[in-house]
Amino acid sequence: MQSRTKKLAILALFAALALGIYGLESLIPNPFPIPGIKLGLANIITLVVLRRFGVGEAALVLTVRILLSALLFGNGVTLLYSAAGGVLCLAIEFVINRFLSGKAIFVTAIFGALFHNAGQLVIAYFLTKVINVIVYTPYLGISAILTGLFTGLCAYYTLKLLPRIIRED
Amino acid sequence: MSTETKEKSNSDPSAKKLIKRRIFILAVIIDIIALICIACIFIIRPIKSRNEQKRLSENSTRYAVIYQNGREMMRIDLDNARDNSFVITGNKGASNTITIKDHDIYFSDASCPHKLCVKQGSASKSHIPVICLPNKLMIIIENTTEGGEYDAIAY
Repeated sequence: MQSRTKKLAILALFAALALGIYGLESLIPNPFPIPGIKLGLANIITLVVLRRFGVGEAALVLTVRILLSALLFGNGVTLLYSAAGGVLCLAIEFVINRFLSGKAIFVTAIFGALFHNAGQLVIAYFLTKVINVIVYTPYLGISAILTGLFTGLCAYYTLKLLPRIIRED
Repeated sequence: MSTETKEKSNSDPSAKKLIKRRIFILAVIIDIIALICIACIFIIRPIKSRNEQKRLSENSTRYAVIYQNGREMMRIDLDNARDNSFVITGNKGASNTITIKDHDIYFSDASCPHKLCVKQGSASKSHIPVICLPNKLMIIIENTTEGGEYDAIAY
């Protein structure tokens, strides 16, 4: 019973952290003329929760983060974008994480970032009904690999430095 | 779950080797994706400049086509257009100012906070269409001699 309460508290903490990181990140202006390029720092939290708890808990934290961020910082359109990206990202991260038995978290993060951008491109296509958004694909691919590497390393060190009270049941 | 498998793979050297091989395979996949992306970027660039040269040599008319929600809403003959600017309003009060200057067309202002469409610069110089996602607007340069094909995905 005690550990369930603890888990709830820790997951709530992670959801709040993810929301805060997402909010801070949205303040960073995009230096590139291509929409959709961003660091994806909130993905660090998704990865950490996925590794520490499991896919169900990660999905829970992700859902809370996406719904609240759309409520606080965005609108219906941004909700669609982040939901499509987030769901695809978590799905592939779960598969890759299983495939690698939790090793090499940056590889997992890169695939997550790639699928996140792919999901956003698909939504961009359905919203604009213009096939030309496809020309963004190579730019988004390169950016996903670089930012995925970065967030993966962040997640690696976060997991390493996680306080004992969160790391243990 | 993850901690259990971690311990198992640490104790068993053959499992560790398998994981290493899997990491290697995935890393190769990532490298291939990166190479394809870089190759695509370098393919898109020359196609655009080739189209530009073709236009100049054939002396064709150059149109700026403005799409909203994927539908063509305006077609401007850039070679004969006078300098002016106008505002397009759309989804949920979003508005963009489009300016035509020196036979060039670009977004000069936008109501959204990031103003990515303004940063993308002029549609004739960019090798990809200029797109505003909040207002679902897009400016594409088309040449009549190419039968209305889009420049960037003509290959």
